[in-house]
Amino acid sequence: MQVNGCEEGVAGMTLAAYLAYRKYQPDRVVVECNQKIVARELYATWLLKDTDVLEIVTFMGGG
Amino acid sequence: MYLKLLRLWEVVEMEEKDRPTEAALDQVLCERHGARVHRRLKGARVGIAGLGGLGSNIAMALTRAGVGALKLVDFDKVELSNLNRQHYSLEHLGLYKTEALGRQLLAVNPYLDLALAPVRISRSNLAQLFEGCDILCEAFDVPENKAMLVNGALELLPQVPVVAGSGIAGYGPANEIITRRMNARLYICGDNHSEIKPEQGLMAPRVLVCAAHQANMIVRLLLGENTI
Repeated sequence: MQVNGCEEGVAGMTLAAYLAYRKYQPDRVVVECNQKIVARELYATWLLKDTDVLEIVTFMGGG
Repeated sequence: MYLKLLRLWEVVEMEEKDRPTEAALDQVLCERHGARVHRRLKGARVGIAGLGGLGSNIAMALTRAGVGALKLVDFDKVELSNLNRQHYSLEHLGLYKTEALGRQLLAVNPYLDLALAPVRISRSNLAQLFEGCDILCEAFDVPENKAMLVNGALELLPQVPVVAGSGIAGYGPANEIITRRMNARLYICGDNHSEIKPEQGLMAPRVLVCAAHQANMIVRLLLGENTI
């Protein structure tokens, strides 16, 4: 599967587990899976598949 | 609390005979932009979430461009520490940012249709706050709030494009600040990596570069251009 343009062999993991594995802060991200936004309450049960294309945006502070 | 300010001439101290008419303002903008562009911008309503360095400057840019209606939402009041980058001055200290900014915008275009909400935005009220807006502009400060708003808007406000900011701190190269299109409805402006840290605080030049990116993307979307 692809995450932000890079290959990742993490199919079978939940999205929540992947975010923790890559040290993302889940309350600072927006996640898009196959061009659809994943609702936050689904992260814990969202299973990643080999064919998925993921985009993860982390917001930086400042405004 | 919900407050609506409408074309308050007391904001601008001017003799009645000296006041420009709405038709006169339309005419100068039509001459600059063309009638089609002016009509579309004037007919648009943009929601701005957060009136700090990004939001206050974006609102001013959109008002000058001729956007006809703005919904401004921020619970905060103007403080001394805001003046390094936000569109306020000493006379505004202690005022709600909605009111302080609203007065300045009306001094540029007294016919602006302005809706002000000095409230805290949450997932539970955002759909109601920004109902009827053609575009939502994310201009918060705190990253968790940015993510909450963007996630919430994409889920709860179908059809509304979101233009957000991320990565503006410090004095790194201005050319690192770009506009990215994440999907059909989400645009993110900024350098995507600069965090606030010692000697890399928020400074007007870079914040204004990002604000201009966001305002320009909003104008493009309003005029039917969805590429970056």
